[in-house]
Amino acid sequence: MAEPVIEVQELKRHFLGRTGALSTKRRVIEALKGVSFQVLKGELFGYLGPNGAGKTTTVKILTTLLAPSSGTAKVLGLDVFSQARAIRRRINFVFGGERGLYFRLSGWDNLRYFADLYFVPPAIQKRRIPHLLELVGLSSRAQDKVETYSRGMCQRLHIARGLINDPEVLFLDEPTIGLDPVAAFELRQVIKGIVKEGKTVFLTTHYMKEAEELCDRIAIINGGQIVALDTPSNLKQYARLVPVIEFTVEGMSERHLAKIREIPEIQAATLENVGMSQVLKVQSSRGSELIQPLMALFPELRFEGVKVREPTLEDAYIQLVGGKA
Amino acid sequence: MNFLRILTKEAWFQITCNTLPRQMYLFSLLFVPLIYSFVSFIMFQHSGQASFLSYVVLGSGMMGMWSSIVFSSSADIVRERENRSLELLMATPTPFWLIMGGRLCTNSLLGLLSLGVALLIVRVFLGQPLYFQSPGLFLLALIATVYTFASLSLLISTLFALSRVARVLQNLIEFPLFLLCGMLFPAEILPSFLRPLSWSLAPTWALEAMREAMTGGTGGFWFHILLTVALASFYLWLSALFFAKIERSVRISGTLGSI
Repeated sequence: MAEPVIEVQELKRHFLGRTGALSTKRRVIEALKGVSFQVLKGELFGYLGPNGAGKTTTVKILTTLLAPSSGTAKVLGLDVFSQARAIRRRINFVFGGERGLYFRLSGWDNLRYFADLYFVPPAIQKRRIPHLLELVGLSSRAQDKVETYSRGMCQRLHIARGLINDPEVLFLDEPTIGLDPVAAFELRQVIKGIVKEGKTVFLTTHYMKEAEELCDRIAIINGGQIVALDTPSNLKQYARLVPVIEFTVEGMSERHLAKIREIPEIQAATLENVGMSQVLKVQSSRGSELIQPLMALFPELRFEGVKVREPTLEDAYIQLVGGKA
Repeated sequence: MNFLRILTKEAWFQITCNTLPRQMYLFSLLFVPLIYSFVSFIMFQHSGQASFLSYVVLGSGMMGMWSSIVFSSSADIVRERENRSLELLMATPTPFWLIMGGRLCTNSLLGLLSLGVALLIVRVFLGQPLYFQSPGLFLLALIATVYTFASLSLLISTLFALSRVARVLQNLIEFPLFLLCGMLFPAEILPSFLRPLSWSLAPTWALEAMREAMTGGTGGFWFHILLTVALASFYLWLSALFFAKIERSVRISGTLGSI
């Protein structure tokens, strides 16, 4: 069995918030409420959760940018707080979005700059920089200023920057956020290539298909706690016994959705806009039995269609995070 | 070895990315001392002081130099914060004080161009003769001045790093130093309660040393150089200490993203 490279035990982190302008009140916000997991060497570990679940807080702690409030977090056997500088040489991280690069420098110069900050010897830089640019498909644009790059190209350059010190562990915090489907697909291919090279990757995302396609194991975090940790195929089992009913509807509001969520037999319910219509997804072990009662509950709405289908990983995820994603 | 490589890299970065390609920086570096030179010459030409040209040249040059250093130092931190690259820099194994130190050394060296502009204006456009009694000592004082401004701005950049209103701080810090260090007027004419503040600032002694090297002075050159270097080294030590404390405290408070 592969050795663990990330070990997290009962990790907690709180932030102090202030409310009010004149008489300020302090309140404690618990971002992580005792998280435990291990990531093995060479694994692509997915960390999924809705906004505010604690994904970025975990990544910041593991990349030494944030101190834990309590519990332990070790990367490559080193403590993330007291041995931060030793960890920094051996890891790297990439967050989503195009910011963080120097737009007035070329892609090549951005990589050269960070290579020096990571103490990469010049002889190795000469070999590594062209290799990384090749890996992310930016060789032909290497000498152009980053201000001329598209968002997808910036994100790929970020990946190359994240690999500049040949890290043993790479943290990717929502790397495909805001990318078009083609750019996101290309980036996923790059991530697969990184794992083939033997690197350990810790990936946070809230795109289910991305996690399913890429990850060996997935931890689902919600409200600062891990609610499930397993392989993608095993996670689907969580929702296997709970079929999904999809209604195509018009005129539904958040008020209607809240009323549906109050029904005890319903495990999860979400509403999305698809073109001109809305799609209401309801997960319940009662399956098709619920179709008529639900339609009868809202006579003012126009139901255009309904189908019952097998649950996917996304449905398992929605069920685990309580339909609040 | 790594130390020198980082300093060289930051110098390259500062020149190609943060300073010379930016018009506002060039304005501050080259145009501001030009205005200061003309204005101070008009103010001092009928003062009857024999050494007034040293105040015009050194005063205007130093004011321009300090303006450009403070402008660039605050802008650098604001830019890194807005660009979200501050976290990326903090996450590298290079200490943040060394990154900033390299950039601020470069700012101080580039700031010498302000002094060059002031010299050029007084000599060429205003047709005034300029004499350096001890050119060698003047060069030495100039090197000490660069060191002084680099270490003082590094110390001040800890404030910029902590504050969300670095640009406001920049304005607050820029002008008092002109007066306290005696850039345009002798520091001796300041009220007595301000004098200790003036003495604690290394540029005060660097300017004294430069004036003495330029005009012949009273023989206190080496004492002033010693004070300059000692104070600047103290600033440097304090900066490294503050940066280490800031890094530790923002990791605990969770405000790294907002510094």
